[in-house]
Parts: sequence; C-alpha cells; structure tokens
Amino acid sequence: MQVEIKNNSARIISGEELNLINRSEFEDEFKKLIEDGIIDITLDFKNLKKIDSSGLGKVLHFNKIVEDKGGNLKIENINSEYVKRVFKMIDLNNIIEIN
Amino acid sequence: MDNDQTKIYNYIIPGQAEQITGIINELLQILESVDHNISDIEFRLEIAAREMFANGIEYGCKSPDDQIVVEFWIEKDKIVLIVEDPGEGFNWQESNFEIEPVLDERGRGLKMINKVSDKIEFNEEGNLIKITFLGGK
Repeated sequence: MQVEIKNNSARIISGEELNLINRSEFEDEFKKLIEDGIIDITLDFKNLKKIDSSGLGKVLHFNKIVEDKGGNLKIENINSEYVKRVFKMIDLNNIIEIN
Repeated sequence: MDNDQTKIYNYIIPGQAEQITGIINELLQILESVDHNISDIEFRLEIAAREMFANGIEYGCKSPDDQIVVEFWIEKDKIVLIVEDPGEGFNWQESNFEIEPVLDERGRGLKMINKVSDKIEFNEEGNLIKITFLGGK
C-alpha cells in the first residue's frame, strides 16, 4: 500500500488484496490523511486483484467519513474483472464515484 | 455400469487469514477438473468461500490452535461447501440477509454469500454454514 499526497489531495494505492489481513493497515493510512485534514482522497485500485467484505466495509466506511466532512472519495483504475464484478454486485457506483 | 461416486473433499485449515488464498485456489482447481452444469460458478464460489472462511476464522477462531473444517463436493447439478469453526456461533435465526445487516461486517459477508448461492443453511449454534449452488437454471 502506498500513499501519495499532493497539495490537499491524496491517493491511496492498494496492493493486490484488500481483506481481513490488511484492513487495519488500510484504515491506519486513511486515518492519517483525515487527521492531516485531507478529505479529497482517491483510492487507486490498479494493483487490486481481490477484495472481500472487510475491504469493502472499509471503503464504505471511509466514504462516509469523507462525505461527513464535506470531502470527496473516489475510486480509480480498477483493473481486475473479479473486483469489477464485486463492485457491480453491490452497486458500489451508486455510492462512490468510480472512474 | 459405471456410476460417478461423488468425491467429498475434506480439509482442516489453521485459523489464520493467510490460509484463505490457498484453500480457495484448491477449491477452484477442483472445480475446473470436474464436470458440472452450474452457471458462473467460479466467481460465485470464490465470493462465497472467501466470506465463509473469513467469517469462520475471524469470529470462530480465538486461540492459535483453532482450526476450521471444510467439506466440499461437486455433483453435476449441485455444488456444496460447508465450513465449520470452533466458535460459539451467532444468532442467525434473527438475521435478515436481505436487508441492511445488524451485525455489520459479519452481516455484510453473509449478505454476499446469500446473494451468490442458491441455498444457505446453518447449524443450531451458527458455527457451521452450508451453502449450495444448483445447476440446471
């Protein structure tokens, strides 16, 4: 997982999976950004191959936090058919902007 | 006259999340090698299995020696996956997997399992889950 910060925006680039194992790390990175006042956040999923309900739960949770603070969360670069299908299954694009 | 005996696959998996990928790959490999009539099963099985294993490990395995028990079989028109954990279970009788779950993350996983499988059953305690995928649809 990598985080890039530019001006007042940030990009979190995930690794290959977002799941039970690394959800705390994912949350820690996100919390640091919020604490630093960054609420324009992009989740870059170019490396993401698998996601489970833990990962999805974090994404939805982050979206709520950012929205409550008047910010914006969006998802970019989905590369994996599996991830695309999971997002479609839960109609994620009705909740979060996906590019 | 040959009749196909349904082979039942049994696994005992240590209760660590790092084990999940391995057992999923195993199940998908078995799926590839057997004839069946069930649509879109690779995706559906992977979704359901990921959640079942994650739930079993996260909620059912508290000490380092805890393990989950997995049973899996494939018939032409039916695929069954059972996961049992050593935990206390949960009150599935009062859960509704169609609506927004009360149990948050555990509920979200169950909702996904429910969405992709044709039947979902629990034992009384709720520490054993059995899902069925049906063919011919």
